[in-house]
Order: sequence, then C-alpha cells, then structure tokens
Amino acid sequence: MNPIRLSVKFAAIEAPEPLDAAIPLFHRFMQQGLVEGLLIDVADYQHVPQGPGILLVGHDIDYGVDETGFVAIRKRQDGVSAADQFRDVLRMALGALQAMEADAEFRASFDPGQLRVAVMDRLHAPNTDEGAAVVESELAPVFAELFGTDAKITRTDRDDARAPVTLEIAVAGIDAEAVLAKLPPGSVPRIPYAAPQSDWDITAEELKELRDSGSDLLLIDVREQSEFDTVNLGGQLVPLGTLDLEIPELAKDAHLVVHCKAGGRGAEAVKQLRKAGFENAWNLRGGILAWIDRIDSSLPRY
Amino acid sequence: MSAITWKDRLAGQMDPDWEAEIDQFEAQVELRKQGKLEDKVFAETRLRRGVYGQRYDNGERFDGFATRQLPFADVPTKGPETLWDAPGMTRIKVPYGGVSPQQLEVLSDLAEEYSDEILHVTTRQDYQLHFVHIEDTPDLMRRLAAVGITTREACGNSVRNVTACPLSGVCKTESFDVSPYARALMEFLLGHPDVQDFGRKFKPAFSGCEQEACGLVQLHDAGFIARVKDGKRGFKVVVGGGLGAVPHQAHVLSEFTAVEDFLVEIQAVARVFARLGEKKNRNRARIKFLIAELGIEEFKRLVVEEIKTVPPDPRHTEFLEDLPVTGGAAPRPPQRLDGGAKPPGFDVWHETNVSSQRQEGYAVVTINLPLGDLTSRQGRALADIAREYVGDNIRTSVEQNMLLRFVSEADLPALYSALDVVGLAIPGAGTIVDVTSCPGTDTCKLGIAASRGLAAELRTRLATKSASLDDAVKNMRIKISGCFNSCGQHHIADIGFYGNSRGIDGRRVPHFQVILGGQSRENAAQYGMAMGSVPSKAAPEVVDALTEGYVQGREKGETFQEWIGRLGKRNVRGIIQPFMKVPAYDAQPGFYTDWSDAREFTIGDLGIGECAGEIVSLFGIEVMKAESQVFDAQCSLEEGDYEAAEDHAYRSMLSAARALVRMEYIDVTEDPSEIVTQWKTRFFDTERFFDRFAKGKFGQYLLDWHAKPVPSGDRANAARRVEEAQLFIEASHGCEARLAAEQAALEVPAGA
Ligand code: SF4
Repeated sequence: MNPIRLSVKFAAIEAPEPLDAAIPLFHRFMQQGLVEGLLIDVADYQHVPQGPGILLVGHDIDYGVDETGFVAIRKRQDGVSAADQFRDVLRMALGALQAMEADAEFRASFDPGQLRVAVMDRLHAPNTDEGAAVVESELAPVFAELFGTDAKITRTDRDDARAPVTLEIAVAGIDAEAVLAKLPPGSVPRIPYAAPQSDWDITAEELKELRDSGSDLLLIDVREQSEFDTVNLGGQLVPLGTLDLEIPELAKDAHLVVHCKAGGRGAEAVKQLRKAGFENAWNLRGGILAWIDRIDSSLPRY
Repeated sequence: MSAITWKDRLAGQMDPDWEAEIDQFEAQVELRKQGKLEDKVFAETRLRRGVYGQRYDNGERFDGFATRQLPFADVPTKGPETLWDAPGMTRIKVPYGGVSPQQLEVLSDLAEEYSDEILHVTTRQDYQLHFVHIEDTPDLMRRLAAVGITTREACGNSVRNVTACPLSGVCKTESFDVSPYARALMEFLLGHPDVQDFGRKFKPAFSGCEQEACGLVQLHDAGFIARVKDGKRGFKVVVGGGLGAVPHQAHVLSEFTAVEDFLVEIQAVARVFARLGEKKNRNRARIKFLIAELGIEEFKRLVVEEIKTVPPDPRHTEFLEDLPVTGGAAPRPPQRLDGGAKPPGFDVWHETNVSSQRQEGYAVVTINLPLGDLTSRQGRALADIAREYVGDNIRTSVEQNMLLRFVSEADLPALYSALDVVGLAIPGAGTIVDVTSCPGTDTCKLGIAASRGLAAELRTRLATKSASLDDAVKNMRIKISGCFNSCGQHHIADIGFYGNSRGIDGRRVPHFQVILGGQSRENAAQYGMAMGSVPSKAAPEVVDALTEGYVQGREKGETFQEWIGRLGKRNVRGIIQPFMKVPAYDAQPGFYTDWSDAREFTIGDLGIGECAGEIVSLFGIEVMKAESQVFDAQCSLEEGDYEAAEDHAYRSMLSAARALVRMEYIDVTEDPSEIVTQWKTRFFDTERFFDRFAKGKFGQYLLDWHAKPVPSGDRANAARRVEEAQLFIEASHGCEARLAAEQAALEVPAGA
C-alpha cells in the first residue's frame, strides 16, 4: 500500500515554553540546512486552539511542534510503500530531534520511544478494520525490526471512523542512535550549514584546515565595523559596500576567503570578486556563525 | 478492497458536467507536464478552477540572510514565474457560505490529506486550502464534486463566489430570505456563455436589508438588497462598488427590480460589461472603471437597451416556481432556555456569540474562528455537533467565522460544552477581539507585511484584557490587510491597517498604514481614511492609544467613528504621531523583523535586507514632503474643500516623483512639467517604477492627472484622488527600495 501521507509524532516530555521558540528554531533549520527536506516556510498556528502549533512546511515533509509533541509528516512519495515511507520519515524526524538537541537556544524535549504513526489516505487506508489491518500488516514487521518485539502497539483511531488510521507505539528505553543506524541513509546529508550559498563556497572545517596548514591566504571580512567589533576572526575589514574600492588594491592571484555573518554578503562579495577576475576567491559558507558553531564555540554569537 | 483511484471510486457520484470538466483538467495537467500546453493557457485554466499560486512559488525566498533558490523542479511551470512543483492555494467557493455536515467532513479530509490540516475561511465566505500540490488538485475536486461543491470559477476573470448575509432566513430585519435567490443567480451564471468574456473578476453579493453590514453589498461589483414593494419581492440593485487599492462606492442601477426580472437584468449587465469593459489593462478592468468612465446614467441606459436584446430564456423565471432549498429543516423543536445548569464560561460566551433569531425559540450561534482557521479534527467535531443540533444550517461569515442557525435555545448549554471540548467555544465573536485579516505575507505573493501575525498578536493582547474593556470599545472592529489590495477589508473597520514598508538607515522596516473611521454598517457605506504609517511592532500600542483616547474623550453615546470625525484628522494624527518613529537598529532590532517571523524584514522577497552599508537617503528626506502634502489633502477632504484636496494630492505625487528624480538628477526644478518629464523618462518609460504585480498602475495615476490637472470639486473624485496619491507615494517607496537593492548588487566595476 502506497499512502499519500504518513506521519510520525513523538510525545513531548517538556514542551517548549513559550511555543514561539520554535519559530526561530525552524528558521535556523532552513538557514543552516540542519534537517532533511525541501523546506519552504514557517507557519505560525498558535492562534488555533488544539491546532498544529508551529509548522515548518516543506515540499516533501512538514515538521511541527505543538504543546503535545513533535511531528514529521512525509508527503509526495508517489509509489513508495508505507513501510519505506515510515523508515524514511522516522530517520528525518530523529534527525530533527538531534538538531533540536544541538541547538543552543531551543529548550524542549521529546520522547522518541513514545510515537504515534498516522496514515492519512482515505482511499488506500480507510479507517475500517480491513484498512487498519493492511496498515498494521505492512508496518508491524518494520516496528519489530527497529524497536524489537517488546514494543507495545495500540490502535488509537477507533473512536472516530473518519480519523486517519493511527497506531501508537511505546518502546521502553529506546536508543535513538541504534534505531538511526538501522535506517537507510537520507538522500540529503544531514550536515549543518550544508546549503550552498555561492558557486565558490568553502566550509568552516576547510577554512580551519587551510589556516592550520599555514597556507598563505587573505581573510576578508565584509561585515560592518560594529559587527567586526563584536566578534571577528582576525580578517581584514572591508565592508561589502566598499569592496569595489578595495578591488584594485588586491593581487589578482591572491588566495582570498571572504566571510560575513551568515554567508549572504560573503556570497555577494565572492561573486563580485570572481567577476573582477579573482580566480582563487572563496566564500565561507554560513559565515562567522558557522565558524562559531562548528569550530570555536568560545566566540560570542550575535 | 478499495478502488485504485478516486476517479473510479467516485464515478457516477458527481454531476456529469463537473466530472467531465475535472477529467479535462486532469488531462490538461498531463499535457502541460509533457510541454504540450502553453504556460499562459495552463495558468488561465488552473485559475478558473480555483488553483492559485502562493508565496515563494517562483522558487525564491529570503531566509533572513540571503535569497535562496528553493530547488523545486522547474520544468514545466504552472504559469509565468510559477514553478510546477511549488505548492499553491486552492480556493473552494461555497455560495453564501452554506455547507452541510457532510461537506464539512470532506473539506476536513482534504485539508488533512492535501494541505496542512487547516481549513481557512476567507472574508468572502470561501474556504481555502494552502500548500496544495497541483497533481493532487483533480482528486481534490472530485471529492468535492461528489458532495456537490465545485471550485469552478473561484478565480480568474469570472463570476466569483456569490455572497449573502449569513443571517439570511433567520434575521429580524430582513425583508425576505435572499439565499434561494443567491443560489439561483449562482446556478444561472455558472458557466453561462455571457460571463466568459470578462476582462476581470465580478463579485456579486446579496443582503436582506439596507441598514446592516452583513452583506457588504456596497463593496461588490453587483449588489442585491432585498425589498418588498406593493407586496412583491424584488431587489434594489447596485453596481460598481469595490475595495481594491482605490475603493469605490457602488452606484444604484435600479431602486426596485422584481425577482422575475433580476436574472435578465444581471445578464444584461454582464453583456454590457463583457462588451465594453477594458480587456487589456487588468488594472482598469473591473466594472467600477467602466461605470466611472460612462457615468451611471449612461450605463443604466445601456443596460435597459441590452435587456431588449437578451434572448428569452425560461431559466430567468423558472426558479421562482421551485425556489432552491438552502437550509433544511431544524432537527430540534424550538424551546426556550429557562433555568437549568450552565457550564462555566457559558454566560460570557452567550453574551457575544449567541443572538436570537426571527423564529421564536431558536438562536444563532457564532463560532469564533481565530483568523478564520479551523483544524480538520475540529471540522469533523463540528459536523457531529451540527448533525445533532442544527442539521444543514452551517454558514460562514465575512468576518471569517462560522454560524450555526436554528439552535433550539434549550440546547445552548449542551452545545457550548460540545464546542468547548474541541476548542471552538471562544467568546468575543463580533467584538474588537475578533480581528479579521487577509493571508498577507504568510501565503500571499503580494503581501508586504504580516497581517496575520499582527492580527494574532492583537487578538492575544485584547483577549487578556477583554473583561476590563469598555463596552463601546468591545463593539469596535479591527481589520487588517497585508498590502493595499484590501482583501482584509481594512477600509470598512473602525481601525484598519494595511501593510507597507519604509527604508530606515539602509534597512527595511515593516509598517502598517492606519485607516480610521470606516464603517461596515449600512452595507459598508463609509470608507475609512489613511492617517499615517506606523512600524508593525508599534501597531498594538496604536490600538491602545486610540481606544483609550476614545474612552476618555468621547461624548455621551458617541461612536468611535463620530469621535474620530469630531476630533479631526490633525488631532487624530497627534495621537498616532508618537508611534511613527522607528528606533535605531541597535536599540531595538525587533522593529526590523515582522510578527511571527525571525528573519530580518525584506519586501517582496526580492533579496533586499542585507544591505551594503549605510545609505544616507536623500529620497527619505524629500519624500517626507509628499507625505505631509497627502496628509493636508486628507484634511482638506475632511473639511469639505474638495478642490484643495485634489490640489494637495496632485502636489504630493509631484513631490514623491521629484524625490525619485533627485536621487539621480539633483538639480531638477520644482516645475511640475519638468518633474513629470524627468520622472517619466527616467522611471516610468524605463519601467523602473513598475513593480512585479501592479506594473505601471500607480505611475499612471500621476500621468493621468498631470495631463489634465483641473480639480473637479467633486467629493467622490477628490476622495479617489487622495487615495491614488497615497498609493503613488507607496509605489515610490517601493521603487526606491528596489533601486537600493540593485545598487548594492551593482557595486562591481563592470567587466574589470
Ligand atoms: S490584501 Fe494584499 S496581502 Fe492581503 S491577500 Fe490581498 S493581495 Fe494578498
């Protein structure tokens, strides 16, 4: 059975307080490419009582946080079986949980051992005994494989035949890492700051390697003076607006790495430099924030 | 066990015409995918079926730091600048907002399977689903068709949803129930050959009486107000109203048209509009422009002539013998609410959300839907509740709420408890807490500021102090639009807002223009006026200052509108003034982001926001002059000096145009002709003044006036011109913002 939509929801141990905190979190997910999926926008539904809370809407997956838990909804998987969709969405959801844990500002926790799986497809999986049996027969082996045979599975949709077929799974002492290891790798590598910003990006790790190796590179900081004063990497300050004045001063064959706060201005700067004939100019993907998050967390984030 | 496709499963359950049309649409989707159908043709087809684009569907989005490409599959496209894979919005038109429990269940299913589990009620009694994929739309339509709902002609240049007061049939002041006539009109016009050739959309509305707000007929292309003359039913018919960027009040086409003549008459109106209405320039294609051009007397004459040429059609009167059923029987007998236990919270809710109806022993219950949103689960629960208590009598309202009619009064406590379980017993319906808003930047491509974000913020703030609010304040209405297009109907609120933006020190700051003194009673007979723009984050304080000022300053029995009128624009402006200033970025960076958003603000997602350094804005200084002139224009308008108002308005446009010209040619003189010539060659002819959606619309205002700058001295003209000037100034701000962004990108020595 190939349903059009399948979701996994982890119960909240400690819901974010206020729920608002999920808005910047989801924006960071997008800005830094921290979770899988083609993500489109953040929708704030806090005004709806018992509503979906805050949603991170994507093309192929939605993520959501409300008072009761964290949900991932897989969609647009034409011709993919329920079992494979479940494996897929579980990996994405667990990945997002890890990204939340790693986030410095977001405070909430969810229990990967308390999950609810819903199949939203009234054509292929109607909420009838027959429909539910098909769902159970397809998903039960996957549950056993991933969670062991002790997992408790309960069908919780019986009070309303119009609701999607829903199974609740309780796994005592779940080891999320171990579960992740059993799942197929994602199509999108789950690396922070993975989204390209220009055609000439280098990562924070690559920059560190270059610097450690004593390579002769010129680091150019294209932010403003006040930002530079807040925190810097010892680069030469050339605000983006004055880059054109600086260009004639630079040697065409110099090895240049530009950075800004988060990579946007850096991408712009490297475009200008490349256009002006600098063939060894690069942009630090994710800017100084990526450096702080991944290389040197002692520096202040701003 | 189940059919493989919805097409097979629902075969025979749909109206055969609708079924064939959906199959055809599905085939067109397939053709488009194979590249065998043109972009524009497909876009038209899909719009006609209510399948809209949505924000970011061009595949670009500003993420707070940089503009990112959203890697949607971009071959083929759904229309110019609309990527194939990008999810969109589906609008489902429900005549006069009436649905049955079964239909509500299907809508809930669809929201869950194809959208984000949210059913959204619009200000035109439609339902909208967001983030829907184009390939899912044929099945979505089939499932609706199987329960008698069509999305046909929900968009595009066609007859849009027919709206009617949600109280029709139960209202105490109505002449008669208009819903069967609304239904008859809808059935008659749907797919009618005479309505296929419009240059622009056409929105009809019905109202049961003249004095109340519910039908808002004054702001529709065609409005029908129920009247009984010599014991015969008919309508007062008005045409050419509309909000849009420049609001128009409707003109009277006929004081009384008998019900047997009203379909012929509207058919004649449609034929005249199709024949003479503007086709090329979308911005002047609504019927209001045709009427403004011809004059209402000439238009009337043409309609009378046209009626003679309309071929006889039995359908013009057939419906009268067997009026369409629009409600269904009440499942419970009428019974008074006498004594009995009341659940906690009941009284507060009862005061604002329940009104008695004409039929003794029955009441109308309003379900306050925050921002018009309802979840799938709530939709199903509501269907159950409706089945038990009211049957088919569910309606939506222009205030984005739902109404249950024919509730036996004795059932109210039980009904309240049932609603409360699913979070649908929110009190405050129709009060100041019940803020309405268009989608704004959440999903609309044209949105400038977060109207829903502001609405949610205001709801929360007002709800917490609701108990302590003065009654007169409670009765006020707030309506918010994300841009000047006024889908949130900000012109007819006590306090209205529409989104815009201002450049401060090289950054953009989301703002809302404050519109005061509008009126929704008497079918929206009075539009509000712009008072000045305040930063988005200051808007709640503005609401506080205005409501407090009103409570303290009003005279006995004075309404908010009357108070505003008595105070005069200058004094009112004095109240708003302190909130207009934007604090420096370092002091309060929050002002530089919008409500419910963590990203630094940008407009139109054009990639502005990360600006290159500080720009001391010559434009900013110059345009202030324009703003103060347009304010003077409003004052003159208010004082009844229409010629002066027109003159000030004209001058303010000149100042704004000059501000733009000065950025490039500092020595431009004050001579109107030189300003216009310079502005035209530099900004208009080069299309630099054009934005992606309105194109040259606002620029044309200046050119039209400058060609003939003779004040008319007429109130309506003056009011329109002041509005136009305001929009021209907005457009100048927008133009400056785009240029600043281009400038930042251009600071590369070309080819060096
Ligand atoms: S008013 Fe503007 S932002 Fe709001 S829905 Fe209309 S066009 Fe979109």
